[in-house]
Amino acid sequence: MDITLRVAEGALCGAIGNCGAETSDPNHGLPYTDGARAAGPDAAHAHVTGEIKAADTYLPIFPYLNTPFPGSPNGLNGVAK
Amino acid sequence: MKTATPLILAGRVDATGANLNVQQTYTLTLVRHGRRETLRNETLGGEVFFKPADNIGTKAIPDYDDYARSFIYEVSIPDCSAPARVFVGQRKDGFVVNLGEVFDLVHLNPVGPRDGEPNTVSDKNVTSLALEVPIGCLTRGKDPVIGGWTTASLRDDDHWKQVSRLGMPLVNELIIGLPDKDKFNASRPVDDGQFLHYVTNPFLPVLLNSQFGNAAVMPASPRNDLVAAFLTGVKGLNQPLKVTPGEMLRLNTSIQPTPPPAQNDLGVLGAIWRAFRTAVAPTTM
Repeated sequence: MDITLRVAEGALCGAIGNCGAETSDPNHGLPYTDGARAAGPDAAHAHVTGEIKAADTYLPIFPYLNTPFPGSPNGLNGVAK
Repeated sequence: MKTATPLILAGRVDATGANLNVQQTYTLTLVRHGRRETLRNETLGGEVFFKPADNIGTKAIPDYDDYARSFIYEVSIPDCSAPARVFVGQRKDGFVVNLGEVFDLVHLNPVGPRDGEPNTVSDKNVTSLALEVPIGCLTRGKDPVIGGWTTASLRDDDHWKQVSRLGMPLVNELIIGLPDKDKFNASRPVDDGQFLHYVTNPFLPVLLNSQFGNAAVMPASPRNDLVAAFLTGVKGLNQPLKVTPGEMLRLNTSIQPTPPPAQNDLGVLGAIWRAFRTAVAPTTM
């Protein structure tokens, strides 16, 4: 299969799974990123380190998008506890 | 003297809506070959669908998961052998982006760690329209690839006027030039040849070069590699057998969804073939 896709929002890639290490791509291997990666289940996990946990963000069943945050009760910054 | 309530609820909210002073409803209309058909709610009967109240809080709605599930409906589509499913209501925003710093002249290290910045919509909810349709009702012939995009329209006198369209996220924000943003929003993908130069000669590398100099050298143009990413889909993956360049989300329905634990936020670029963009379509259907 001839895959020609070279770029997408997130990082620039050469070979599949070789993002940011390609030296012949139009952006010279720079893995441009906005730095944001899929967050955990709530705002307390806005910064994520380590393995992505897609199951925290999406449901495995319809409608797939996760339960919304409740408006109350609130924490100190207004975000639901 | 009786005073009208200013609140949408009069007590604990449940799926019957008995304590709701405001009930939001919607209908679904299928437009095919210029012909409009109002779709039937197979769960409740009739043509009306209900939207749950937003997640007000745990006192008003103690179990929002259970409450919201009551608003998933089966919907019949003419000439479709099985019913579709629909849900319209509030959901946690599934998108991932560092909006503030990106639009602040890329106020971050664009080659820094991929998970080192906050997802600025991680604590946001958004009203969502989810529709799950059997694959056989969307594909034609032997081509498993479909394309999709959304539009929003406003009432303009006696007709609806399209004011927004969206396939890939942020195309109008970061690709289309200022003079053509309204034109793009009012257009259809089939006519996207008029915007081709924005894809083959993108401005974003110019911005990055202006901010980071030699650390972000501008790639040579025309960027024909971006034509596949934005306009045609990738041959052998998500490009239709007969393709007209147009900006939309293209999905190969013959590829099975990836279970959530195995998903990668880079989709196909992260060696996960089954979800082209996990930020948009975490589980392809």
